[in-house]
Parts: sequence; structure tokens; C-alpha cells
Amino acid sequence: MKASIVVLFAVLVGLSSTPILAQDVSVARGQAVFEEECSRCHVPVEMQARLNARWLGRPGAELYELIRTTMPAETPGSLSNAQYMDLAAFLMRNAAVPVPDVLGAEALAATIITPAAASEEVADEFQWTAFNGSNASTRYAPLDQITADNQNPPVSPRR
Amino acid sequence: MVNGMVYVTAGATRNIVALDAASGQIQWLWRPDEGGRFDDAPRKGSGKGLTWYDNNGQETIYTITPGYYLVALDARTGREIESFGKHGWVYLQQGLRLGPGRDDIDIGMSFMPLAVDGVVITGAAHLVGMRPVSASNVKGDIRGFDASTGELLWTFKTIPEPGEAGYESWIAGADFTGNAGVWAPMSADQELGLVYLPVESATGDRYGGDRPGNNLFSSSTVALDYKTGERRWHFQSTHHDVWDWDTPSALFQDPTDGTQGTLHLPSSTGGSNWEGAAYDPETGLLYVPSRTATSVLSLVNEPDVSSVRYIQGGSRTPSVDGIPLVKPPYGRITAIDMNSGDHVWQVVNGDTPAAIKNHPLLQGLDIGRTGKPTRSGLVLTKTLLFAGEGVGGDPVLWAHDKATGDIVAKIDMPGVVTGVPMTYMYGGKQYLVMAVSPRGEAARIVALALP
Repeated sequence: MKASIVVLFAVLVGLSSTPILAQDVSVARGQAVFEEECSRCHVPVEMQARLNARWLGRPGAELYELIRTTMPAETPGSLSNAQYMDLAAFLMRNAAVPVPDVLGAEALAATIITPAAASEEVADEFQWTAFNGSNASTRYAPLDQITADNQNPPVSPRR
Repeated sequence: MVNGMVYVTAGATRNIVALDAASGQIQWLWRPDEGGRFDDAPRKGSGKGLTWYDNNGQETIYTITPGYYLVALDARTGREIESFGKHGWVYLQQGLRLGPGRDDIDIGMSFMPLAVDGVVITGAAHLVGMRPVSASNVKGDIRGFDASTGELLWTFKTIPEPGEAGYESWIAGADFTGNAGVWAPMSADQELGLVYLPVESATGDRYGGDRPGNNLFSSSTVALDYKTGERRWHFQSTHHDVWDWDTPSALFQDPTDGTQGTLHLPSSTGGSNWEGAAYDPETGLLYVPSRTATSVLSLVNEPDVSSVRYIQGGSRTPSVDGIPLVKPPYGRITAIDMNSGDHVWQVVNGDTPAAIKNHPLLQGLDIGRTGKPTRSGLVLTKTLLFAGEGVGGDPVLWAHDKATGDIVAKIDMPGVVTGVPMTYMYGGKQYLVMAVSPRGEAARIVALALP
């Protein structure tokens, strides 16, 4: 199993045109591995910043390869290749790269690290562009995600 | 928040910090070093905001430093923009009309400039004018600068020169009188091409014997063409202001005679203030936070302190063993229908202070919820009105149903909400972000969102 994944990636990185059997990679498993193995030195927000700073435009295969050969720092390569792939998937999702919950190894390796936020529609975003909201100074934002109904714990309205 | 970055001012030297809008991570930090000019500055401190502006694709942050420089920074990197002024800096102290006999420059700014249509407009804030050292002071001129080059485009003289409109309202002339700056936030209307200036009072908040007349354009709202600096209209809300009721203040009740002077209600810092109000463009309702607090107006002659004949005396505000003389509420929020002028609702802001609630003289009395005489920053959304309590308040953020004023949530915060909150949507998530100050600790920026 382990050997077959190494071969699979060798093939991928070697840009072979030979079709490869799908290998399931899981973002959730990657998160569990991160918390177990990586979180003693790293936090997700830091990894997000690193990906944004240095990895934009590069493929998932490179990220997998770097983690596999350098991490954990004390014992590089000591996890399974499947775990390294799960980790790469989690770190990409963590940096807002549109990675599905479960995907094939080939798809992961080929995914280019591009945050989705930049290309998402404007409806997802409302900006507060000045001290008082805007130059019109209304301090008003037409947002309704946070409402009286979704607070925790709920309370009864009062004066 | 713009394009994934939250920009805040921080620290006594008014550093600018850029934070990731989702995680709060610091993206960059800019710290000015102004040397002696900082030491002499009348308005130090972290300031009350900064200005983001998209200058033809160059995202720019404009700030006014404690030493009264206008600085332009690249919003993505925090680096000074070389082509603006001198390596990013414009020296605002140059070109001022100084007060005769004064070699100090009593001017600075704690609010941000306003940027609109390629023009950056700067205000002017002096030392508090209750006890001015002299009736002569620097004039609070308002200036417009080119957003790209920092070149001075125009100057609007809030105190006119001889021969200019308004000078006739200075019966004894306006040669030495200063102040009449704009220390509070300005606003602008891009369709009309106007900037609105809330102009403060002229030198001497308490004594106007050296400046007979209505004193235009002090204590007025002035609308300027922001491209040219030409005045379109003005409205003077207090003629010959000796109340320090400059434009950000609103409510009025008759002053009552007291024993040590004149009781002043609202006091100069009562009513509403720089925290401003929130306006709902969909319903036409204006939400105004205000506080009720008295202060004593008294005049003293202190030649050691000031060459002005009378300045504000140091009288303490009378109270009954710590209980204010006026009836509560001490702090409130009022919703006003701007089409009819009607008060739609009014609610108390803040719980009763412990010192009032537990006061021995009030035991057994039901005085209701009094609120606190603090400055509450508001932010308004589709359904809710959020209100902090401001300096002296409790560490909570209140959420009101904006239609009825009913409290729908009391959110415990790690410190008193001392700044005005903002809200934004980023990556599909709504955030509420504000500065809080835990007692005796450094201020923090706190973000709230749904889990």
C-alpha cells in the first residue's frame, strides 16, 4: 500500500500520461493528523499565511512532497504517505483553496493553490471602508447573518 | 475592512496595523517616529481612525500623525508612498495662520482625514479651550490635498480674512482669534460634490469677551465644494459660542442657576459627541446615543495661567453624596424618524452603576434602570442595533431590536467597548469588530462572529 502510493506520486510528479487509480484523500483525516502530529509546533492560521505568502500558483503535489520530506521536523517522513496527502488536502482547504471533502490523489496533486475567496462573488462580502462605514457616515451595514434568533444563549427581549 | 484587511490605529505614537479580516493575524505594522514634534503635540494618543482610499487602483491608507503630518501608505504593504509629499509625508504645520505672539503650534488631529474624488481633506484639533493660555491662537484652517501627490489644492478659512464673507461677524476683527477647527469626523456627498465640516468654537470655550459678534464660521456646519474648497452654504448652530456646544453636540435644556456658577446641561461633553449616530437609509430612522451630565460653568481670572481676562474655573460638579442632581436616565439611545422628527423609541443605555444601585440614600426606592453617562458607539445592521457603553461603562455589547429598541442580547466582552464598532462580511461570514479596553490593560481588537 505504502509503496504503491510512492509509485503513484512518482508517476504524477514525473508527468506520466498513464491513467492512475483513484486514491481517496480526506480533508477531515488531514485535520485529525494535523492536530495529532503538527499542532505542537504549528497553528492553522499560520499555515494559511504561509500558503498565501509562498505557495500561490503551485500544485498540491509540491506541497505534499515538501511536507513528506521535512515534517515532522524531528522525524521527517515518519508518517504514512496517505497521511501526508490528507495533510496537504487539509492545509489547502485551510487556506481557502476549493478542495472537496474527499478527492482522489491525482486531483489533489494537480490542484493549483489559489484561494477561492479572491474569486468569489461580491455578495459574500460587505466592506466597511471608512471610520463611519463610508463617507456617507451612516454606520449602517445591510447584513443579517447575526440576528436576534441565532444568539447563544437565547434571551427574552426586554427594556 | 476592505479587501480582506482590517486597518486599526494602535499605541501612543498612532501606529497603523493591518490585520487579516478573518483571522486577526498582523499583516503589517507602520510606526512613525516624530521625535520632538511628537513630544510637543497637543493631541497625542492612538487616534480615532484612519482613511482607506482606492486611488485609481493604488489602495492607500491616509493618516494624520500626533505631530500633525499627513502620511500616505500603500494599503497592501504598509510602506510610505514615495510620490506623495516628501517620501509619503506632508507637513501640515506649514502654511498655518499662527496666532500673533505665539511661537508654539497648538494644533494636531486625532481623527482621520477624509478622502473623496482624488482629494484628501484634513481637519484641525487644538488643546481643549476651556482655559486657553491666550486669546491668540493658531486658526483651524481646513485644507484639501491632491490624493496622489500631496500637493495643496485649497484652504478654507473657518475664520475669514478682512474682506471675505463672514468677516463682518467679527465686530472687533479676527486677527488674533484662533481655533474654529474641525476635530470631529467629516462626511461627504459624492453626488453633490460636497464635504460637510462640523466646525468647533473659536478660542475661549467659556469667555468670548475678546471676540464680540457671531464669529462665523465657528460652531457651524459648513458645506464646501471638495474640489475647490469654495463654501456652498453654512448653518451656525450656536452664535458666539461660549458653551463649547460645537457641532457634534445636540440636545439642549435650559441651564439652571447654581451656587458656584452655572449648571450646564448638557455639559460640553454631554448630549451626543464624536461617536456620532447611525442612520438607516431603508427606514429613515436616525439612532442617536446621548448622555446627561451636568458641569459647572464658572469664570475665573488667573493671570499666572492665561492672558485672557476670564477662563473656566475649576469648580467641581455638585452632587448629593455622589448621586447626580439630574434625574436618570444618564445614558440613552433615541430613534428619531427623520421624515417626521418624531421620537420612535428611546431606551436606557447601560445598567445602573453599582455606586447608584447600592447607594444607602436610595435603598428601598425603585428608580428603574438608569444607564450610564458614557459615550456609546453604535453600529446598525438589517435588524439589529449594537451599542457599546464607552469609557466608564461595563464590558458589554448590547444588541437591540432596531424596530422597537428592545434588548435582545447582552454580550459579555473582555473589556469596555471604547471605540465605535464596525461590521463586515468576509468569506461569507459576518464579523463585528471593535476595540475594547480592559481596565489597566492594553486595549484589544475583538472580533465576534457566529461559530
